Amino acid sequence: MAVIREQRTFRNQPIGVVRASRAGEEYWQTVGRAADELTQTAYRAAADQAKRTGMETAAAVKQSDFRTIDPLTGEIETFNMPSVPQNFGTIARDAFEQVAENRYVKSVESAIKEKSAEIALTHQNHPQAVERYEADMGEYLSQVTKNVQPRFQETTRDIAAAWMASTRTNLLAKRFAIQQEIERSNLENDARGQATNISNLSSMDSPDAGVLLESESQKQRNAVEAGVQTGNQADANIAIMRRGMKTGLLSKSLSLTSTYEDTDASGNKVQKPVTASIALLVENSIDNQAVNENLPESLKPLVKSIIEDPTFIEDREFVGRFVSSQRVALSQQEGSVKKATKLEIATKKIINGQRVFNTDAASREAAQNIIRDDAGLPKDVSMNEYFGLPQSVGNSTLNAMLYRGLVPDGLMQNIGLVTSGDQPASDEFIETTFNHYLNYSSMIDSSGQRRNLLLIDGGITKEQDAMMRSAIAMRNFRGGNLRDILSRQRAMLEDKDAFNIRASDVFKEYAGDSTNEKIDRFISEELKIGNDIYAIRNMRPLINHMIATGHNLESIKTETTNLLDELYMEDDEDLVADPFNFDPNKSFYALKRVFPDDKDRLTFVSEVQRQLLDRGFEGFVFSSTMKQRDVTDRIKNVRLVPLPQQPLSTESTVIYMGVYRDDNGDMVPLQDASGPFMISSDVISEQQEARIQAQREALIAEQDRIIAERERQKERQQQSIKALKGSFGKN
Amino acid sequence: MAFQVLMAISAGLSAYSAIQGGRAARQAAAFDAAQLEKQKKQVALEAIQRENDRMEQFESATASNIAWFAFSGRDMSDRSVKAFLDKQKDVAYSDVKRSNYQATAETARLGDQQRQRLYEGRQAQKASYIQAATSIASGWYKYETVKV
Repeated sequence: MAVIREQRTFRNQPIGVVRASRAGEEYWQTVGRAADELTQTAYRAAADQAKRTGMETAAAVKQSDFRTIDPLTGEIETFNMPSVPQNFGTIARDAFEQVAENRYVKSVESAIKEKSAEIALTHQNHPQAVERYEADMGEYLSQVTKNVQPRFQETTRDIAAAWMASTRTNLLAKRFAIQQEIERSNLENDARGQATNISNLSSMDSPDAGVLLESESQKQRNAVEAGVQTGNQADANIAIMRRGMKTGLLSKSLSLTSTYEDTDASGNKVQKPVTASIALLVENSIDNQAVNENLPESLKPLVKSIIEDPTFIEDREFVGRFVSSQRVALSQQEGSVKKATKLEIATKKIINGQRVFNTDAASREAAQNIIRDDAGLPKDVSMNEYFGLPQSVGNSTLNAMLYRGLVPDGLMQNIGLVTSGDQPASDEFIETTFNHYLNYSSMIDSSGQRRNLLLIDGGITKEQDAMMRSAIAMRNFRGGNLRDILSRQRAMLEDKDAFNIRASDVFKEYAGDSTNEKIDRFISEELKIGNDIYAIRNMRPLINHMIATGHNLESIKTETTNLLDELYMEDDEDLVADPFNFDPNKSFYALKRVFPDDKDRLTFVSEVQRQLLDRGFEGFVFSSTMKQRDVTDRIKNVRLVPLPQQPLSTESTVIYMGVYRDDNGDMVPLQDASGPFMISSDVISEQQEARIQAQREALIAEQDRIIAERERQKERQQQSIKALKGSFGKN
Repeated sequence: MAFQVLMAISAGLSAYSAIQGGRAARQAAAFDAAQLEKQKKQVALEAIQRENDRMEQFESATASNIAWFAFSGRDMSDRSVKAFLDKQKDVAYSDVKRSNYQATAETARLGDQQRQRLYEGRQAQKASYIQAATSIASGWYKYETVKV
């Protein structure tokens, strides 16, 4: 056997390798991804926050920081773009700039709107309002365009163009409305004038009365076709003239000298003077719309024709009132026991064009009744409600009454209700009351001066006027609801602290320890009133209300200047000298304000001249016409100095003293041995009364003479008959 | 401001994690390289063992063959015997050569792998630095964007 050799049985085998774990790397990758995700989330949140912060910071910039105001002129010098805070990132910066740019543009727009409204308000009632507005705005815009940053200049021009176009349209519409109103007013005045002519012709039985009525009615209808007035306005004007025809016929039969045919006891037809009893029968016939049986036969056809006229129902109130006034005149003439009431007398005075006073409640009531009757309203209607309806705005009779210086109680009460806020009122009611106020608070008269027909003695109070004026100015300036504006105004006036804070802010540029001192300084310096306590008292309510409404200084200046112009009228006729006033050329007692009715003013001027002659002041004249001519040294012009501190003076009645310039050029009182020449504005009422009384006495004397003549004639006839019978041997 | 702070922290964390990730990748690569080094040594060891085994097998077979020839009465100087033994020797040495060549080739491959992994580790770390810098830059940019 061969040897056994040991063989190697084990040999090292490949053991392979251990791959390194990637857990560490993956761990950090996971951490990295988580961190990235967290970064994104935080970034989104921070971006939102940055955007919000940017917008809020831009929104928090004060509006005044966008403009630099020249402290001397109060005009805007430049429009500023606020700078972005240094620490802001891109997002916050973008957001800030976006909001700031919007506000910048709005600031420019707002400034343009404010200036546009201010300029429009200044010129709105001027005949060349549009042209003046465009000229002033053009000048303002060229300045503004220079003041804005270059990249906003085109935007500014666009805004201005749009706003000017809009305002221009409004002004044109207003101009058209004013022109239409003037035309309409002229047509109405024509109708009233022609009504008098028709009445006169009709009273003389002239056929021309009918011809004139027809031609004038056609003229009114033509105006409707021309678009100058509405059909209803034409109908109203035609009705005025038609009533003239009826009053002419009635005045012929019911005047103080009228007679009617009757039969005496012998059956002879005789002419008898018309009495108040006859007029009462006519009045009853009109009221009952049936001819009274007791009416004399000779008058029945006339009354029947009036009652059966197709327009009788429409004219019934007017005709009834006319007959009533004729009856009152007749009864006064007869010394009848039936005494005319105060209301009837006031009504008659208004109809006859005599001077009436707004302080007299009966006159206001009579005016309101006439408005009611002319509007065809039933007697029991609430005039307060009527004045709260839009159709009452522009009522022609209401216009006429206000021009006569009479403010109906219903209208005053409505203004009181709106301003006090004591009772709930509808938006339509408030709007209508404001429209009435707008119509009558700032009338432009023929000389271009403003007149407030409501703010008169016995009219609305200064507080009410101030409240309405402030509210309107605020709405024109910033828009909004009148009810809310009034409500805020009342609340602010009640909150004294808030009011004082706002007042101090508005008048901050005026020195003074208290708010009152600042306001007084403003009135004294800015309005140039000085220390005229009466004028200051007149201005304070408006200033208080404008502060409460939130007006700025500029707006307050504008409105107070307007009020001052309305209250203290320019004495362009140079008839009144007011040395005690802050401005000697203006006066609270200018004849135009004391006598709103032109006719009254002319009568007063004539009366002053007459009294000058009666007192023997030869060579002295009181006439605006004479002042315009070259006068010789022998003629001296008299001016009247108002003496409001006299006991008998009120806001509507004032005592004047005559003055003239002597040879040395000094203004001296006009006096003679009996004392200085003094005259009351009320003189024309006394003069009118005296004139009417004299006419009445003359008529009575004339009637007495006619009756006496008739009696003598009858006596002579009787004697003739007796003599004739005697010649035949009979008694 | 809280969001901005949070954003800064998270951006920093992102950068830190990138650096740490790179470092981990390099460490893993180094570990892999070490493993490959070991494998390389093992391959060498195996080759030596195979050579030794083959030589021992050859020597044992040669001794047996010589004994067999002696027992068979054949002279060792016999040409055929000599040719036979030479042939046996060629075969054995040829095997050893082949085994050694194989080991050399594998060792070279493992060395390549080792260097490759080290390279990967270094590159991963470099990339992590860049990523970290990017995270910081991005975070800074975002902060600049949103700061208030």
